[in-house]
Amino acid sequence: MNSQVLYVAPSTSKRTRKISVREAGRRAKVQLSPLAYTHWHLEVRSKRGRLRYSDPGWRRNLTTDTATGYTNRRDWQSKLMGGGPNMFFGATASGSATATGATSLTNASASFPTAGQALAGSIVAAGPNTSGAGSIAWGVIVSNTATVLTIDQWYNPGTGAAATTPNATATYQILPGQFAAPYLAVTTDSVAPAASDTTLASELTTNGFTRALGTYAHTAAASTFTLTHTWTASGTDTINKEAVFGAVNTTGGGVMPFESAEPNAPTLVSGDTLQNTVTITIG
Amino acid sequence: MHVHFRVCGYYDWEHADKHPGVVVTQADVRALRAKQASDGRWLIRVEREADTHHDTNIPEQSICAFMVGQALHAGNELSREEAACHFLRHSYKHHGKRSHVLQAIVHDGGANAELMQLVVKAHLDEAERAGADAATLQRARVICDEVTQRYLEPGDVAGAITAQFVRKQETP
Repeated sequence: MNSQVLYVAPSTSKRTRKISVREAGRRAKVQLSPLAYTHWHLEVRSKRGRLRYSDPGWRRNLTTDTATGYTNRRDWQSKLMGGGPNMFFGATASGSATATGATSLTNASASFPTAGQALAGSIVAAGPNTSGAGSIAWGVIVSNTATVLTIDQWYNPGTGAAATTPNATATYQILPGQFAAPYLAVTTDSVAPAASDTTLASELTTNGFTRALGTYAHTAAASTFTLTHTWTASGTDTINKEAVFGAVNTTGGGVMPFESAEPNAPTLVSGDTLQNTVTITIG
Repeated sequence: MHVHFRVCGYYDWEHADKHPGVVVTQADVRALRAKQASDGRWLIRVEREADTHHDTNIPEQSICAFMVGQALHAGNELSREEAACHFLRHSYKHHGKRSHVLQAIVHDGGANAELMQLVVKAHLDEAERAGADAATLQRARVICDEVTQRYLEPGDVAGAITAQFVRKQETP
């Protein structure tokens, strides 16, 4: 049966043989370019506000589309938007803990999913126990077993700062989907970013450059949103790369969907400010 | 802190190919009016007219950390209003012009003394780890006390933001 031709992909050569969609599909060996455009822009100012360095425009950056594990951008984004494979996974999605720690919550009777990326990237919210004792906090799950959730830290819901560990028998709920990726971080490491990266090697945690919660901004119906942050240097560092993360600290790690390298890495001294902006185009 | 702007326009991005004949230059790139997508195509900044809104979330931690960092290392004494406006200024310039802004509504959770204490502690701990001498640490503590006092002073963030950003008067 002949099928009506709807479109022929243009070619620069008249000698290019026409091939079927099936044949093209079998030939495809390289992943498509990511459709989520992301760009960075960086400015450095002296302590008096004088512009010392500015990126020559927006830099398009890399999306971690071949990373293994839950930090992969495509996996994270699909779960963020679609809920993920463990949405409403069963009765122990909520319950009472049997133990809590600074980076963990245990329910010895639980049956948390462990296949694939399991619950990594989801949020667990904890509250007072059934007697009303204990505080409210939530954490981003970075890994889990059938009975133990390991998180990056407990967050204060009002401020995002570190919170007190919930009561050992706190009530909890595991929320479907994924936590956002609102944290910005920088590094002195100069190795080129790779789509398989899962962490920012040699991420800075001193000299004023700790991983920071970005300022989020979006205009309704616009195709982009931005995350920005200003660091004030307390020492000397050369900034070679930056990335966006879904957890507050390097211990937890978190999803790392976007990473970028500075073309002319600026060196900051104490008192300089580093103004970083990442623009994510969502189509 | 949630800052909600009612706006009459905003910046957006389109593929240059949608505008036959448009010429993208190095000056456009430097001015952040054009950028290349990951597939190599050019995106250009466009200005849309619309009765819509723009939302910004300024983390209180960022305000605290910026005030402390600027005081300790740049000698700049900022108020909480000034710190908030700094973050808003550097974020909003990528989304629109001030002449787009009709109204600002600010949901301000207020200064958080506990949070500021955590930020101050982190700075002082790092100074100690870096080997600062006793005199330097004492000076840092004094500066941090001054920053904390300034941070907790009653202020009018909404008023400051309105004064800086709301330029266009809505036509009745």
